Amino acid sequence: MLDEWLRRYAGQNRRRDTAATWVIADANDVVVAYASVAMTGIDRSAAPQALAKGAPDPVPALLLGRLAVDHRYATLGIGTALAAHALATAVELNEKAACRAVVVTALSDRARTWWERLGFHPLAPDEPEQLDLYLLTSEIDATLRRIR
Amino acid sequence: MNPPLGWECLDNPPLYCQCQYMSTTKEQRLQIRVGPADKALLERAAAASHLNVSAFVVQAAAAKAEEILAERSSIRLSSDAAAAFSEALERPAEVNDRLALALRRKRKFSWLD
Repeated sequence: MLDEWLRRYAGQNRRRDTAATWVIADANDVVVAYASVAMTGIDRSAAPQALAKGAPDPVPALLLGRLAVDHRYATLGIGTALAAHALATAVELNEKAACRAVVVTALSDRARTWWERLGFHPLAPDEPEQLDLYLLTSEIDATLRRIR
Repeated sequence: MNPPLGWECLDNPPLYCQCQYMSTTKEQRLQIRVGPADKALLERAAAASHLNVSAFVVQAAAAKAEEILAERSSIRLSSDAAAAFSEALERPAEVNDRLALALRRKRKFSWLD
């Protein structure tokens, strides 16, 4: 299904200018992994006023969607490399403008386990139907500095 | 005679079970009303895709759902989630141990460029 998207929707995506598609290809230019990357805003307007200090602006974040790796290449760490590139991009964006978090949507238990292995936290821990997970750019930055 | 509960899919193999996020969960029922023109359209497209109508509709809708979720310009949090996220933003930066571990893992491929 994810491959289907690549063939059919990459062009449409570009036309609408909402998301960029990152692709990893093999030496023969055959795509082995891809992800879509878009800017989003985390809307906290439902928060109690006291905590949010007045009506808060949306928090700018990077939305990493549809990360997929060809199953023949599944255990090489390509997905992690693609995700790591997106996390480093969030740090860079946050230095140059503002990008306070990276958000992903875990569409399966397997996907959720995969993102949690990368340290992602649920955006709404008390709402099991909420599939969004996040990392703060500040913790990505601190972690990248530590392991560098 | 109606089949016992949980057996509905036997005469109607759920081809879409191949996709990752359906394979581990129990089948659930979704009923949709559809006009005759749309129904004919879906049936023709399903036949052209070599899928039954149910599998075709699920695949097409899931692909669209994924696309929409991946391109949201706004992610609205509930009151509790918004409060928790605001608190997290205020905390001093912390090293994320799981992330550090995952990023330290050796990758089994090399970059060409």
